Amino acid sequence: MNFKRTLLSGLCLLLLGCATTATQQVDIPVYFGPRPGAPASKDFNNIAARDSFLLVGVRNSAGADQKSEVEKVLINNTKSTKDWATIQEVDVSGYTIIILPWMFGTAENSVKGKVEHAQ
Amino acid sequence: MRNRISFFVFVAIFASVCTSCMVGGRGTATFDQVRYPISGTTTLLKKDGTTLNAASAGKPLGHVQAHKFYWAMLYGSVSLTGKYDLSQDMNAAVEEVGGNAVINAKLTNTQCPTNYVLVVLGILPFIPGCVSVTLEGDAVKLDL
Repeated sequence: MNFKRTLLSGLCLLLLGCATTATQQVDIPVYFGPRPGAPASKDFNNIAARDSFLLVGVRNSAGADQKSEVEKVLINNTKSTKDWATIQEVDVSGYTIIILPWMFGTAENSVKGKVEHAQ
Repeated sequence: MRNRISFFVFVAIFASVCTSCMVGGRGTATFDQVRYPISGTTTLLKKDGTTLNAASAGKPLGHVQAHKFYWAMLYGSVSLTGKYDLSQDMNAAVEEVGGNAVINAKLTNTQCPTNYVLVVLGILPFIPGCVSVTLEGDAVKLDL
């Protein structure tokens, strides 16, 4: 009985978590570098860095296939379709390491950027 | 007996650490001088702030990419390349196919194949390593 109750509670929490995440995230345009032709401040009342983000994508694996991709950014608490994200710079690194008898590697992208907003 | 096993484990760990090797690359990719919008999705914003789905605007003009090796030494801790702006290469690639925007852009970071060879010498600090970074996407021509 306790097990069933615990399982049910866990499922409810999981569903609640998924629902919360879904409402907080909006898929917005992500620009590598500044957005050319972005409206000047005279066209809109407020264009400013509304939020900043730092994403770290790491892929570690044993063997030779280490690859890390910056493809899509989903930013929490962004609900407006007039938002866009600007990736300013990406710190890239990758290492191949041997600690006998193993060989493994890493590839890491650390993305710095900001979310901009037009009102 | 127990002391002998402990000693063996200690020797094995010590030998592994002494023979461990590492090479790697690091650096910073920037995009400060882009002349065309490079979007990570198929969505672009027009000047008036409205969204434009480039996927429905027709076939891409071509696949464009900018590539750079980022080198480092001292076990990957000191970057030899530093910051490198991929904009100029990307601008040239877009202009070559006659586009004015890039969609489905992604940045991929992979190990250079040389790392797998040089890592056997990687116990020496001056052995260089690198990562191969590619910014790629589909060039399109749109009324933005």
